[in-house]
This record gives sequence, structure tokens and C-alpha cells, in this order.
Amino acid sequence: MTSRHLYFRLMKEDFRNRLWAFALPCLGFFFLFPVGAAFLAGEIRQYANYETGLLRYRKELATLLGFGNGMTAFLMMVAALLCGLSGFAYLNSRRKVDFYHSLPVRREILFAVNYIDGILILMIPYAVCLALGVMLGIANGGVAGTVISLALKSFGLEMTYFVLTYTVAVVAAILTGNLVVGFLGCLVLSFLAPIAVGVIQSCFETFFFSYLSGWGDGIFEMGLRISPVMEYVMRIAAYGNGESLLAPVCAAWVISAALAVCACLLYRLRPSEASGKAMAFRVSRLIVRVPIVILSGLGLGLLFWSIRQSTGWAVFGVVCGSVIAHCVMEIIYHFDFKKLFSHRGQLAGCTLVGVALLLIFRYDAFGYDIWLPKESDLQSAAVYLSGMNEWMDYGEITQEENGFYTWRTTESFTYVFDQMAYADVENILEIARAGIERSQEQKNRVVLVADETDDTELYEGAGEIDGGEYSDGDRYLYLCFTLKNGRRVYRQYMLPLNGMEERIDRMITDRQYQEGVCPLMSRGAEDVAGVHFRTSRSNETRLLDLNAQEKKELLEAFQKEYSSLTVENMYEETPVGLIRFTNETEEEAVQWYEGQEAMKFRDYPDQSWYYRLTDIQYYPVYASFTETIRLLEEQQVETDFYANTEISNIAVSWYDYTTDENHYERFTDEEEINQILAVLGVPGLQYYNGFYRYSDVYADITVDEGKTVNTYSVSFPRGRVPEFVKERLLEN
Amino acid sequence: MIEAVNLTKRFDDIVAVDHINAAIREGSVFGLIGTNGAGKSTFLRMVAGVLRPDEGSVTVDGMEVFENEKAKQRLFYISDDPYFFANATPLDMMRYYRIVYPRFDEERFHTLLKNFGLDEKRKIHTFSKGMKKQVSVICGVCAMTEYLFCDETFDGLDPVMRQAVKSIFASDMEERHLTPIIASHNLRELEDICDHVGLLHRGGILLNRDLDEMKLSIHKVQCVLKEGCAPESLGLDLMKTERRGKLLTLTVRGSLDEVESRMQSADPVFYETIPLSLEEIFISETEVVGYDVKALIF
Repeated sequence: MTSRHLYFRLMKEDFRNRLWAFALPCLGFFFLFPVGAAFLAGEIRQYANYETGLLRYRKELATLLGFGNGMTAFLMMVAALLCGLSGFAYLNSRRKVDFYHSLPVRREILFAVNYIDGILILMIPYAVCLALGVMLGIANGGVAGTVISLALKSFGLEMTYFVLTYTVAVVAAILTGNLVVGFLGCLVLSFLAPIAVGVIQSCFETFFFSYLSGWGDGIFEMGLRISPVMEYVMRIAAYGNGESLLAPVCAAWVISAALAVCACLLYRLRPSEASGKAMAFRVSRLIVRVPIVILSGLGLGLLFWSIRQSTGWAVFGVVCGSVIAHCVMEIIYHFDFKKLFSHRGQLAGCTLVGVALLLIFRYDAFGYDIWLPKESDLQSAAVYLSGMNEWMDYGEITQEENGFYTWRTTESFTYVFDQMAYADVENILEIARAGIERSQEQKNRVVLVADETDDTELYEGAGEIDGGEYSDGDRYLYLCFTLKNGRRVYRQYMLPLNGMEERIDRMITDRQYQEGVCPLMSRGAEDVAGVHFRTSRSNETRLLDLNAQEKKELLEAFQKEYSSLTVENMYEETPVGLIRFTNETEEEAVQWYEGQEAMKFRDYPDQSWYYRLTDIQYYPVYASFTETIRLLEEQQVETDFYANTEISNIAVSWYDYTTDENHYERFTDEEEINQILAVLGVPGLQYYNGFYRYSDVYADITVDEGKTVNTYSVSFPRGRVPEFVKERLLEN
Repeated sequence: MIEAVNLTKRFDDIVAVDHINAAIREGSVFGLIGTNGAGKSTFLRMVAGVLRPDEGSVTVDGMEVFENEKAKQRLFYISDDPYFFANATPLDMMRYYRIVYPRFDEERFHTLLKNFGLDEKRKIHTFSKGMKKQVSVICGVCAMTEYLFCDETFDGLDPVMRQAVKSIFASDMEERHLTPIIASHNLRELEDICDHVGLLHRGGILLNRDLDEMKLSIHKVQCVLKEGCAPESLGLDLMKTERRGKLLTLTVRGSLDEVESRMQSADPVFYETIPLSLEEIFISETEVVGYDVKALIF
């Protein structure tokens, strides 16, 4: 009999013996796809408008059948574990091993039969049920071409990550000699690397104040991607973001093939007498135990640190974690509680490594937090300063196939770090130095002498009306250094604003900085299709009726004035209104959105996921933007919030938390109201200025607006609360 | 022929089989005896290609067994606790064995099952321990391999079935030169079937002899010698001498003719030669090499 015939006949017999494993995915996928598709079809009838119901059905059908459906992913992971462990479970029984390994069949054939059957056990029910789901979907109004191509794509992608996860489970099954330990082995192979990444990253976050989590973490990301489960989850996220999965999928197949070859070799090498033991190979005991013991020690050390911020407690945690993990591993390895302290030398070694790692992080032995590139090595930097741009919307409006417009957000750091190349190296290094200095002070206060820190420490001037000194204190500075060798290094610092205004002004008024942080700065007048102006007063928005020249003038005036904005301006001013310059697509989206809004988005699918397209891309216009305001006023735009208002009263309040007393006074006298209004900023727009120096004295302005009476809240600017207000407040 | 040279197997710190040298000729029944833990199963599992030897080699008809498909096609291994697929019937097992043993005799399988009174469509897990062993033996015989390894296979069989199995072995040995290798801790079970016996103890082989040869070359002589005549003066290859009054019981090595001739020439008062049981032969042989075999296997 040829090997090929033998192989297929053995496969058939093996399949027959594993029918129970086949039945489970059949059941799961049957309810997920055909039943799910039929269930969704019933929803169309719930819509008064068939077209919108159909639209929603198609969208939900795509989610059901497409890659990234959470239930599919869950079933795939469970099936991978089940097929991988059950297919090779016979290796855990001496009886079965004697049976299979005495047969005149090469071990490679036995491996291949079990391995391929494990894939088919999942693939056949998945393919059949998916096909049934597709048929039902098309029968109920799904677009055939779209649904079929989506299902095929999904099938390919899901199978890719199933095979990867399944192969890892097979490796775990071969490396172990007991089903429970095999399951634990799967967890180790799937999650040890992510846990290692998590622990090391936690060390960075805990001990390195300048560590910018999530950036420049290529090694950490690689570590996460070692886990097939994490890779699966990350690819689902990437697919959702519209990223191409060609390269990761190819890599997954290559890795699966390599792992399968590796599993086959292990299968050949695996001693038959390993059945029933915890680990099939002696050497793997050490390889698995050492990282687990070190990570457990480090993890518990971190936990103790987070509770007490004490090096002694942290070291105690490392020792406890290492000992507990080592003992548990030894008990599992030997299935004997009395063996818990076997390999004491290794335990001591792992504990020492754990303690050493903790101390390296704790005392920043390699100077991570004080690192700065040499000026000669630095090419440029991208800078994100908190308080400056939190309100800014990064992203773009796109039109979907169904005609709907969607705002696709770009994460602010992603945009800035990609776009900005601020080349004033000398200035950025000076700012970074100030940041390091401030961060080190902070670190010394919080980390190094944590026990001595008084959390109830009050800021200077606390307990005095209008005496705060805190709001213009530190800001976070996020930096991406681009070195001349192409390497990118990310850091974050606490940056004091006081004393750094000149440096910051030099940076924020720089064209390279502006273009990197502010999308509007790169927009030309030819890209402006519409200009919208909004005030916080009843949230009114106006589309200005401008000709091309007027649009150009307004854009250029705003760009010029916005790019000249200084820290001092922002300390003192609040925006008077918001302006938006739209391009053609954005303008179309706004008009479309307003049309949809008129219908109250009655049947709009997943409306919670859609940004209000009319509320984005606005920029603040400050009172000092005189040219912009002049041009706006030419269009009869009222920029004075308090103009033509009938204010019935202003309620002023101040909470003195040093005495836990609330002071409150209502002002109704017109003269007093006018004096108060003279110092107040514009309500509702403080969010657009993170540098504004405000006090903790609040004014609630009640405005009679004809049909309604509205109240607007605003803080007094610091140091400018009128004396009569202070006196009256203190009387109450 | 199966040949083991310096065959060694260790399980962690335990030496299960320790440098065994043995040769098992085809066409005979080889009995492998030893106490529990003597290494019988380990030896058989290595010969069956289940275990990889740590040292030495084991060959079947000149071919290394481990991971050798061709060598394994010449043997069938029945473990001490045979495995059957979950919910399998004898027919299911036959279907599987038919795939891996191309010469599997399906017709004979049905006949033997019928003769043994086993329902071929009944689930094996509902069978008694003895019935399961019968199914194993039937599968093994019908696989038509040259060698059949039986690990404690006869332990669960009743005397009738044991005889039936023995007769099947005998006919297969006659017809197709089957070589059964039977491991057991009970020497008496093997006595009437084995041609050749190996005695394993603590992983090593103490004896490896042809049973007939042993039976023909060792004799027990009960005699009363003339006054002044010592047993040593008889010119016999004495293995053991027991004295009870004037009655001597001598265990001697040599052919029956040779022994009788020597006895007659000594002109004793009385003598007679008595056949030895396998047990006695083993006791004598092993005592010669310094072992108290009674303590080992009886």
C-alpha cells in the first residue's frame, strides 16, 4: 500500500474516531451563520422604511459573516484549543501510545493524519455553515458579489489565524504528557509573551517617568505578536482600521508551516514513555519555568511597589512571587507536593535575576529618564504639548459605498508624530532638558521619597479667593526625536510653563511646528469650499456666504493670527468663537449630515459610531485675532458674546476647600453685572484653551434669550475677580 | 530472527532494561519471564518499536525496529492493557488493522471471532477483560505478521481459551512460521507452550535457553551408591547434590545416554532418572549462577 493511500485511509478512520470533536464546531457555526443570518433577516421588518432596513441588514450581515466577528473569533479560539489538544491527547496515555507507535506507520504519517484532521474538523463545518449563511444572506437581500467576496475573505483570514493558534496548541500537546498540563502549556505558549510584555511595560510605566507608553514599543509589539491569540486580536483591530493584512497573513502562514514542521520533529523526538508525565522533554521544564518564575516575581514585586512604594516591600514581593511560582511549577512537573522545593539553585538564580531587574528599573541604572540625544545626532522632533491641542480633530471625512459619510479619526499622537519635523534642535533640546529636570523633581518626590510625600500638600495661595497658582503649572510634553540615523525615540516629560514661555513661543510659532500639529495650516485657499462660524451662545453656527477671494482672505488672516498665538495670549484670553474651513468633501458631508439630522437619523445604522459631522474641525478665534474678527464682522458675524444680551443676574460662587465652605452671591445690579462681564471670558469655549489662567471662582450668567432663559457658566480669570465680588462672597 | 545487543532503557533514574543480549529464533515460541518490574514489558515495547533504546540495538530480521515501517510490518504487539478505539466493535478494529497490516486475513478474523463466540458488532468496552484479550489475540493472529508479541496476554484467559490460543499459535507456527514472544511473570503458564525461554531480572537477562535442550541436557538422578562411592567420583557434570540418608538426588548436566551409562558403570545399589519440570530446570540453572530463583519468580 502506498503511503498516500495509507495516509488517506488513516485520516478517514481518525476522523471517524473524532466525530465528537467535529460535532461541536458544527453546532456552533450552525447557530452562528445560517441561524444568525436568518435571525438578522427578521429585523428588516422592524423598519418602517424597507430601504433603510435593508441597508442596516446588509451592514449587520457583513459584520456577521466578515472577519472580526467576536463570536467567530471566540469559536475559532476554542476550536483551536479543542482540536489541538484532543487530536494529540492519545500521547498522554501509555495504552494509546503503545497502540499507535507499534503500528507499522511512520510517525510523520501519524502526525500528519492527526494534524490535518484537526484542521478539517473545524474547516468543514465552518465552510459549510458560512456558505449557508451567505446563501441565506443573499436570499434576504444581501448583495451577492459583496457578500460572497466578504465571506471568502473572512474564510481565508479566519482559517489563517485558526491554523496558527491550532498549531501552537498542537505544539503544546506534544510538549506535554498530560491533558491538563497540555492546556496550561497552551496558555503558556499563547500568553507568556504578552504577560512578559505587560510586566516589563509596567516596570517602564512605574519607574520611568519619561516613558511614553505605546510609542517606540516595537519590541513590546513584537512580544505581543508572538502570541497567536494576541496576533489574531491585533489583526482584527487592524482589519477594522482598514489596514492591509496581506503581509501579516503571509507571515502567519509561514509561521504556521514552520511551527507544524517543528511540531512534527518534536513528535518524532518525543519519547513514548513521556505519556502521563507533565513535560515530555526534560529540557523544556527549565525553559518554561525560568521565565515564569522571573515574571511572577517581578509581577508581585510591582504589585507590592504599587501598594507601598517601598523598595523593601518590592523585593519581598519578588522573592515571594518567585518562590510561589517555582513551587507551583515543581509540583506540576512532578505531580508531587513534596517536590515543591526541587531545583533550589534555579529558584535562587531566578529570584536574584528578578531582584536585579527590579532594582535596575527602580534606580534607573541605565539612565533612561535622563537620556537626551546629542545635538549633533538630532535631526528633528515632533512635539505634542498638552493644553495646546486637545480640542483639535485629526482625521478625514470619507464617503462609504452606501453613500454615508464617516469621520475617520486619526489618533492625535499618530498625526503629530508622523507629520511634524520641527528642526529647531537647540530649542527642542532646551525644552526637553527643562522637562527632564521637572520630571526628575517629580520622580524624586513621588518615587524616591514616596513615603515622605504628603498627599494633602496644598498649592500656594489655597484658601484665598483668586489666589490659586496651580492651573498654569505643569503640562505634559510628548516628544518624538528623529535622529539622523533614522531612529525614532519617544519620551514624555512634565514641563513647567512658568519661565518656559519664551522657548514655547519660539516653538509654537514655528511654521514646522504649526504645520505638524495643525492640519488647517497646510490648507490652501483653493481647498476651502465653506467657512462656518460658531459661538457658544445657543451653540449657533453660521455658514458664511463668501466668495473665493473672501474665503482666501479669511483663511490667510486666520492662519497668520493663529500661528502668532503666544502662551501669554492664551494665559489671558478665551476664544470668542470657533471657525471651520471645509473642503468640498467636508462641505458635502456637512450638508448631507444636516439632511440626515432633519430626519433625526431614524434608521441610521450604528449612529452611535458616527461623529456629528457638523461638530468637528473647528478652530478657536481669539479676541486678539483682530483681522479675522474684522473679516467676520464684515459678514455681519457677531463675535461679542455679551452683545445685545439681556442678563438678569450673575451668580458667583467659590468653594474654599481648606475650610470646606461654599460661598455664593447673586448679582442683579446692572452696573455690577457690567463690571463682572468686563473681566469674564466667553463661556463654553475654555476647552479650546488649555493655558487659560482661570480661578476657582465661578460665574453663572443667566441670559434672557426671548423664548428661553439660559445660564452660561464661566470661571473668572485669575487675579481679576473684582474686589466688590470678593467682599460680597466672603460675607456669605 | 530478533536480536538484541546491549539493549538498554532508562526511565529517569531507573534502569528498566540493562544491557540485554538476546536472540529469538523464528519459528519457535519464546517465553519471557520475570517478576513484576523485571523489564519484560519495556523489552517488548522496545522490540515492538514503541520505545527508543537508550543504548544498544534491537533488530527484527536484521532491521532496526524503531521508526522502521518495514520491520514493524513483521510484528504485531499486544500490550498488557490493549487499547481499542472508544465505542469500537471488533469489526471497527479489524477495519483499522486492515489498513495498516496489508496481509490482514479478514476471513479468518470472522471465523475466529465466531469460534471464540465473540459478537463482532458488539462494542468492545462491554466485553470482559478476557474477551478483550481474545479480540487482541485474534487481531494479532489475523494481522499475519511474522512475530507476535504478547505482554501478559494469557493472564486474563481461562484455561479453555488459553488452550485454544495455544492451538492457534501452534497451527500458525506450523503453517506460516509465526514466532510468538510471550511475556509473563508466571513460568508455569509458559511451560507447555514455549520452546525457548528468557529469564529477565532487574533489567538484565539471566538465562536465555532452548527449553527442549535444557530438558534434554539436565537430568535428575535419584540413587543409592555403594559404600565408599562418592557422587563426585561418578564422572557426572554435577550441578546440585542433595542427600537424604543414603538416598542421593543429583541434578546433572549431560545427555540421558551419557548419564545412564555413567550410572550403570558405577554399579549403584539403586538408581533412576526423573524428568525435570521447567521450574526445576530454572531453579537449577539460576542457582548455578548464584540466584535464588524461587525468590524471583515463584
